[in-house]
Amino acid sequence: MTENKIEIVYEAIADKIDNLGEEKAKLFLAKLSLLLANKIEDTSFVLNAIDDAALSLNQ
Amino acid sequence: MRPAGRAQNESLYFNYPFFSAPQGKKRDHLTSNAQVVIVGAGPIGMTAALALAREGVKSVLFDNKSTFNDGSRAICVARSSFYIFESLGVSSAFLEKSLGWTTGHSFYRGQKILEFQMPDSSEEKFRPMYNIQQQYIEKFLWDAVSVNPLIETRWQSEIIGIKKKKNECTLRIKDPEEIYETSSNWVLACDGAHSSIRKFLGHRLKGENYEGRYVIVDIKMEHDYPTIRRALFDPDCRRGGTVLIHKQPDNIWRIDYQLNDNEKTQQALDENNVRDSVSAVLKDLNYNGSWELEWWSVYSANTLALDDYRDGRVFFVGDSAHIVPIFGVRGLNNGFSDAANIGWKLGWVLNNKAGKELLNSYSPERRGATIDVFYNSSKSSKFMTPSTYGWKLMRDAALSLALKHKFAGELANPRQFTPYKYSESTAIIKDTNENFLGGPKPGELLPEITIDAGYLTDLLGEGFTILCFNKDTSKKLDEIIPDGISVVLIDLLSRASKLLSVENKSAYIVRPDGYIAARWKNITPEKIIQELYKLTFKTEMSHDRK
Ligand SMILES: Cc1cc2nc3c(=O)[nH]c(=O)nc-3n(C[C@H](O)[C@H](O)[C@H](O)COP(=O)(O)OP(=O)(O)OC[C@H]3O[C@@H](n4cnc5c(N)ncnc54)[C@H](O)[C@@H]3O)c2cc1C
Repeated sequence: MTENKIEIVYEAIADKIDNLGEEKAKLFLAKLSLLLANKIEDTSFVLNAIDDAALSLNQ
Repeated sequence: MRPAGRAQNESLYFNYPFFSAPQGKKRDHLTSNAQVVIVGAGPIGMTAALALAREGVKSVLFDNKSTFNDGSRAICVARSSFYIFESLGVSSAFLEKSLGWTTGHSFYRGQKILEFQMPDSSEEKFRPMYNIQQQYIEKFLWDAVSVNPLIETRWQSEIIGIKKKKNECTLRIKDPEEIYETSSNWVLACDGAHSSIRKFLGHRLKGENYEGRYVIVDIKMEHDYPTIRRALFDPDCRRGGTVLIHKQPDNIWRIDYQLNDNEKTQQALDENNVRDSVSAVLKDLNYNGSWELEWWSVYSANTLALDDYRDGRVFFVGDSAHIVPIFGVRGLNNGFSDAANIGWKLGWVLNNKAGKELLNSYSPERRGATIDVFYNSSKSSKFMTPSTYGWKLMRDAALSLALKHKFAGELANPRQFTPYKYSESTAIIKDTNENFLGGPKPGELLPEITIDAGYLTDLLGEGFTILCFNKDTSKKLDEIIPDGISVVLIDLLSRASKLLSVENKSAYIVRPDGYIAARWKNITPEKIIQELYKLTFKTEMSHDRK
């Protein structure tokens, strides 16, 4: 994804979270991950992404 | 529990029989040695007694009650159990009464998110699942047990102690008249989840208790929904919880609803609360007619098992050996397989048709099956009753997506029941190098398929069965085959042969319990017989010839 494209997605997610409010954000993000992951054939890619996303959150 | 004003066994549809303790002449031989004692005349004890009787082995069956188990308890009987009923000659009563089903519907907040089908086709002799109340299960087994001359049942007779000796066990029994002792060479402990034999011998179930508690309620109503399992996730009647609905014979419906963490078990079991909860569920189902309360209880999702299902001359069978969650509907079905497994093995050993080593395969095979159930049902438990934040969030995400996206609904599919495979057992022979290209492997159940006017499994004999695929092999086998082994010739061009992936000189050996013991792509009749001795842990010399 080019910088411009990821920026569009970034902004759309941020806006959606703001629209839904903090309480529903978690469920929304969980749904979004499942929806996107379902489109990706390579399961190990997704599993790595799960670990990547958790990096620096655990400390 | 029953509604106020009704006695413990006062059912809306079932007449509980009353069994007295042994009386008069029947007391003369109470202390004589028994070859096999079975403790507990629940569904599993009765099945074990019938399985032994099928091998011609006598048993004495003890139960401390004077009637069947109270309430309907387990209601889902799987295809594999029907094969066991058939081998014991009791399947017709079950087929007549029970309701077969293949379909499940799951709903999320009132909207249907999944319709699943369990594997079924016109090639199958039995449906994947049947609903029938446990009282009927026990009654139909009892109808066969009570007329079997090889089984002596002693009701109202409680085992209050057991001592292991070198070649036998001594049991202490208490009945309304006295306390006496009797000895037995083998003991099958079929005495249920609270097994006293297990306690006397100092064994403990190990595993996990899950958080989820369900109230299970049976009601009577004229409701015209077909026999389809319904699961309601997060319904109006139970926000955040899960409800399961099953149809049973006699207009009886099973409603299982999950309790939330704040609901105290004792309170939830109060009759008024049960009535209110049921009314709320029925409202969600759009049922406005009348209904009557039959029976209710509470059940939680445990995965507990013994480390070893055998202690010397004592075998643990059924709930005494394992407790599994209800979602996999395997508590009872798993027990039936235990009983059939130990039944033929002990029978073959006592009849000197197999060596004692065969008995060593009971615990690994059946404990393996339980661990497999644990794995699958703890997966469903975590979906049905997620007990942590992460699992609940993802479950809710999947359900919420499922309203529009099919793939997410599949996560709610319980994928119930593929029979366990005994691939690592000592009582099978694994595939050798000259591997088959397909077909079922040793340790798997023989698959079903129609052949001639019937089914493949109809061709199996009572003992081991050799399936062969050319006339010469079959003729030669008939000449040299030992007692108790059947030879079946199958047309190489049949669909069954294709399913088994065989050639002209191939052979399969099927065990008395329908599992594949061994198979070869290319083998001689003489070699088959040799391999058969291995499977029965016998040397050729000691095996009786016809
Ligand atoms: C309330 C309840 C609800 C259930 N609901 C479900 C369900 O929805 N789905 C499901 O799959 N399973 C369910 N089960 C489990 C299912 O009923 C069992 O798996 C099944 O009954 C096991 O059969 P069993 O013969 O091994 O044990 P049991 O049915 O428990 O039989 C054991 C027998 O041994 C007798 N006994 C015990 N100790 C002694 C002694 N010392 N001497 C002589 N006799 C003795 C008992 O009286 C009893 O008759 C439920 C169980 C209970 C208790």
